[in-house]
Amino acid sequence: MDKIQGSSLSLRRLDKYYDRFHVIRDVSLDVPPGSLLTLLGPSGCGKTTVLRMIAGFVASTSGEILVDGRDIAGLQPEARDTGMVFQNYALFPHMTAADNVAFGLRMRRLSKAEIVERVRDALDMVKLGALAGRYPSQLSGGQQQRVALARALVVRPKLLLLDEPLGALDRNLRDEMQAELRNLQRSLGITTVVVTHDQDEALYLSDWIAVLKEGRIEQFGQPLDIYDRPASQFVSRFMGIANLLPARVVGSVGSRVEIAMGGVRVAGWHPEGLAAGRDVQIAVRPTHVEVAAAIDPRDGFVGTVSAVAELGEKVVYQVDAAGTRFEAHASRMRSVRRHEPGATVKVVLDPDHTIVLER
Amino acid sequence: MNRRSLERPYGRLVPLTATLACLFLLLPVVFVVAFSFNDGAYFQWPPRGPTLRWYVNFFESERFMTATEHSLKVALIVTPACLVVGLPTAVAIARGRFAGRDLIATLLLSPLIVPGVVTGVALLALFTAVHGDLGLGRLLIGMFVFGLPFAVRTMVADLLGLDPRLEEAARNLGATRLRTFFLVTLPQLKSSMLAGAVFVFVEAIDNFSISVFLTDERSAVLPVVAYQYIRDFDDPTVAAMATLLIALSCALVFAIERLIGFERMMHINRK
Amino acid sequence: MDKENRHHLWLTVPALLSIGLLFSAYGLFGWTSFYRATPGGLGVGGDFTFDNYLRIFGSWRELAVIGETLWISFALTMISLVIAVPMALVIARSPSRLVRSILLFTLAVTFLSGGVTRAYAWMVLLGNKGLINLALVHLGVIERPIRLVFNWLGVSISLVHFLLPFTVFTLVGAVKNLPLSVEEAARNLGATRMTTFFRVTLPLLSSGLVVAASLTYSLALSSFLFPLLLGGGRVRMVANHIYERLFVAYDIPFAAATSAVFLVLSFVVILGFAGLERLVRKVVVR
Repeated sequence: MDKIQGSSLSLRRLDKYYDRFHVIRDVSLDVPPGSLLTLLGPSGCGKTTVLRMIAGFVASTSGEILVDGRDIAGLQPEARDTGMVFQNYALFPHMTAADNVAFGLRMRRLSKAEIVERVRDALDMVKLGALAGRYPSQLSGGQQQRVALARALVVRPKLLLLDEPLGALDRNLRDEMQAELRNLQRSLGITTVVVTHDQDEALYLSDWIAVLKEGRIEQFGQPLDIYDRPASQFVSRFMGIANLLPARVVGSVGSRVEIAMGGVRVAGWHPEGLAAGRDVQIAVRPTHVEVAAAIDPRDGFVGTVSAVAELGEKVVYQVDAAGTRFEAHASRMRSVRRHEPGATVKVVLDPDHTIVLER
Repeated sequence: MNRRSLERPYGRLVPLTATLACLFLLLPVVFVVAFSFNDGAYFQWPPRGPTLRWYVNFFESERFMTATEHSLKVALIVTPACLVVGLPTAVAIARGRFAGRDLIATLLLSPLIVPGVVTGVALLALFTAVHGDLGLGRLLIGMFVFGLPFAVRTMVADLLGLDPRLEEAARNLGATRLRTFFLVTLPQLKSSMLAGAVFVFVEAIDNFSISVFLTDERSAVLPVVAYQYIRDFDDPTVAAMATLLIALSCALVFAIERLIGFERMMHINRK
Repeated sequence: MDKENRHHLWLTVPALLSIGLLFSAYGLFGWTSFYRATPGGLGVGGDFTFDNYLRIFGSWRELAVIGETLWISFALTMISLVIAVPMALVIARSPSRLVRSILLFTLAVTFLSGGVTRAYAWMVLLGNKGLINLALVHLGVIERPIRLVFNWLGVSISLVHFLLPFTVFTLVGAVKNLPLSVEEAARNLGATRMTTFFRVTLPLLSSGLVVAASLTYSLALSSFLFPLLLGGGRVRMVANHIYERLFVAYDIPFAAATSAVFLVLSFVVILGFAGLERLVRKVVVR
């Protein structure tokens, strides 16, 4: 298939009430043409509702959905020109793979010859050309997903919508499909929205990520931004930051903030800096926590190793210090010296990756 | 365009038809209730009344009262009997692996497709042949034989839908087969037992095509007496009786809704 | 494991007795169809004979009753299906709990309120001075009351009312088994509501439709009370015919022969439906 002229997508102040329940609250974002946006969050956060709003199966109470600047919020689903891959694929069980793929083209009243040609191309694209005559029940889960993808793409939609696209696949197939999906989306240049609850998947696939919580966008940004600079405790926890600890601001210069914890002062990062005396929370990924010797000259918290576990390529330490417990990950290959449980050590935090969060 | 219309999976024709069908279904039910309070033997507009004289008539009529007694007796005996016999049978059909199981299931469920009149006449022929003058006993036997398949079918469907892992978990935790059945399986069958009981109960009170053959003047039941009354007298006394039956069925519906919820019961009757 | 499964057979003993009783009744009744009625009373006698069957197959009047019953039951089944599909869709799919409850409540109360109640209500409603005629005259649809009862029209109206709840209850399960996302996929690919219904929903429901039709048809075939009350002797279906043979003509053997013929026909029809269902499932949904 040829490269598609990607469309821009903007959501403007989307709101949704179910009776008195405010399930989607003021969702706004812009993604440029050709990029892949992931709606990320735990179940019940509203990510699927937003996707279904874009597809037209859920009516927004207010707000706009702009595709190439045109509001589609009032259009019927069939008039929106989106291609959706459903969570369970929703293949038509009474049609062959080829007929499934042809369905959207038939609805668009294309000529027979063109339908045949485009169906063949689409099935070849997902490497299923040989199975065109099979019914969905005769296909494996991975093959069904490819048919669903071909069916959604063959109509050359303005937007590709994927609802937990890899959720039903097992680990190996998942990794393989993840790479394939990414390449396909890049090479077609089609603007895509993915719903997932898996942060690794989101980080791997996305150009943009919107983390949702209780129907609201908690943070919107590029993957590494969200990984390195989570804007809230919720995002930190969701992105797998194990150390979330209370502290107090001592002073700040620009985005560098000095904080105190258990009588020890260390440095951290906050986009605008914070006034002295504020109670805050710090978020540090275990890989940015170093377990050093007790006599290390750097600033840090002296404490006791309470547990050590060797997990494949990393060593996981738990250290009790400053009245709390730190988790630290060290590379097993590089760690010069192992610390045994009970040893007195110093916990040193990487100041660039110690995120200071307002409480 | 109206955004709310997006969430309607079907066009206007579907809800419109459904609404009209509902009105069609409710019309005779609502009408008969209203008619039972009409002060006059025939329908007229505007209606006169309200009056309770048809209810008085119903309760003072010896024929109707005896018939009510008979009907309730049949329903209250046949319903538990069908459940008690139906439960082990359903378990055997759903779980057993013995020769002839499918044959038993087919034979047992066959009265469901044999017209009631045929079953009624056949049983009458049998009772006549053996000179079985059992009074109300004829109908008791007839309704039991006729009601059993209803009870068995709903319970079999429910049993087949149970998650076997729950019973395996109970066995794994040390429960015997019998204890597992009573503590884990049986409680899960609550809804189908209730559904089966309601079916049998209503059938026992309302069935006409079998009752008309298996009862006589001395053992007459409500539907038969009502039919004769309509044929011979034609006044709203039957409407009063109908209203009482409708009230009973409303009570049953609410009881089901409170006990297991109607949508869940529908789930069982899927098969 | 084997031992325990054989125990299961004992559980069915009471039910087997019930089956035995019922089938000896059917058997005895079938056997009488090969004899003659003794004059005066419900007796049976004479030599073994096929006379009763010959009488049925040799008489247009007898065959007409059976043919008419088969035909009218088919028509009523189709009408019930057309009304039941939208109802089942709403019950299975409506996002509003209230709407679902209202429909279920309506069906349940109608279903449970009993046959005599409903037949009686329709008799009064459809009478020459009944509410329907009165309303139609008042609205100017008709000038004079028309005959709605004691003919096929009245019987059909009341029978659809009787059959509809069964049809809907059977269909709801089939609709619930059909994932909504399949219909959404069709809409997403550019199909309108109408196209989605005819190209996706209906084909996938076809096996459920056949099952519902089969149940509705066998119930329609065995109608007795409604034609008895609303047919007023002018309209009769096979069950009424059997009843009259028995209680008017006191001819048990002939009634038995009619029943046997009728029963065989209904079995054939039901087997036909079962075959159709298997075929449809094979062709439509693999």
